[in-house]
Amino acid sequence: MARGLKDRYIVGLLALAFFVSSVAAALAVVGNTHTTNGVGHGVSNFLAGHTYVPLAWTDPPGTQGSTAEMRHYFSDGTFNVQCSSEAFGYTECAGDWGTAPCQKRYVGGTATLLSRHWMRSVDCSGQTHA
Amino acid sequence: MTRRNRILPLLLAGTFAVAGGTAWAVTQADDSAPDRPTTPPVPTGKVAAGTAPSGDTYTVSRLDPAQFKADPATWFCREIVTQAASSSACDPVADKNLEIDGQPLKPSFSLLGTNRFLTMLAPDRVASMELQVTGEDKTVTAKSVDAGALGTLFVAVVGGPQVTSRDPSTSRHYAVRLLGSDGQTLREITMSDPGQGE
Repeated sequence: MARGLKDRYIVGLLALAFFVSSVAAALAVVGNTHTTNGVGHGVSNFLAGHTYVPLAWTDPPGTQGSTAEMRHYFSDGTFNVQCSSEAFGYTECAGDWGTAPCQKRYVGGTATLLSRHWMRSVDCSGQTHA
Repeated sequence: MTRRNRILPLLLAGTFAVAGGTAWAVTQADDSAPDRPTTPPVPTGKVAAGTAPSGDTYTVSRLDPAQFKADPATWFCREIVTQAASSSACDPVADKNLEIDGQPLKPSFSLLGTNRFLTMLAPDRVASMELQVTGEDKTVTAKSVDAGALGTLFVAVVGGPQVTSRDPSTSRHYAVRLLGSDGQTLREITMSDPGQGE
């Protein structure tokens, strides 16, 4: 009986460890960010003056040249570039949600990797980063 | 102790080791180049300000390279803010071949609304930086601002059309010239507006 209890205790600990590591990995890699081929990129809502703003960023390893561009899309599929930034290493740019808080898109990456993600204001349904 | 009782603790330890190793790997930087800060960078001093061609005011402020895990001896980090948008990036000290880790030197570029900003730490022997829009005669000379121990930061700003996919001609090309003290062009760099990628 005692031995059965000990076995279940160890199995329970194992399950707990697996659960915790899975959640940690999910939070580290997913969240509002992605890492593809070693290049981090995505959008996030840094709190700026108590107003959440759309922020596009690219975080390559080392001194690779990188770009981060935020586009404001229209219903016909065309877009304006609201902001962009290009530099060695990390770069970011931030704008505002404007009249289309659900139609902003990040486009950026490095010379060898281009990535695109929709970003949405907290007032929009669905994910804030997709 | 049964074989099962010996294996389970090993599995437990192995799971923690894998989780720890993964967490370590995803948080490590390759070198001292700028990485994404974990909190919003705080400006440590205004280095330039003015009115951009669009009529918007702008400020260029210094950011602490340590916030980007960059080496303050070789990187100048800055934030540019306008009413329309803002950007953050870092400019490196170039080597004697005007390269950054083997890559050709070029300015950092920020398109904020309709204003284009270019910044670059002045390399050795370079006295000034000028910018010319392809197809136009006019040239713009960059401001030279104090970058402390890193010397001089060139800051150039030019206006232009709103970059839109509806009109590819709104994405323009630029010739950036680095000039020596005698006015001779030491290096010419071509750059382009964004907005043409898929």
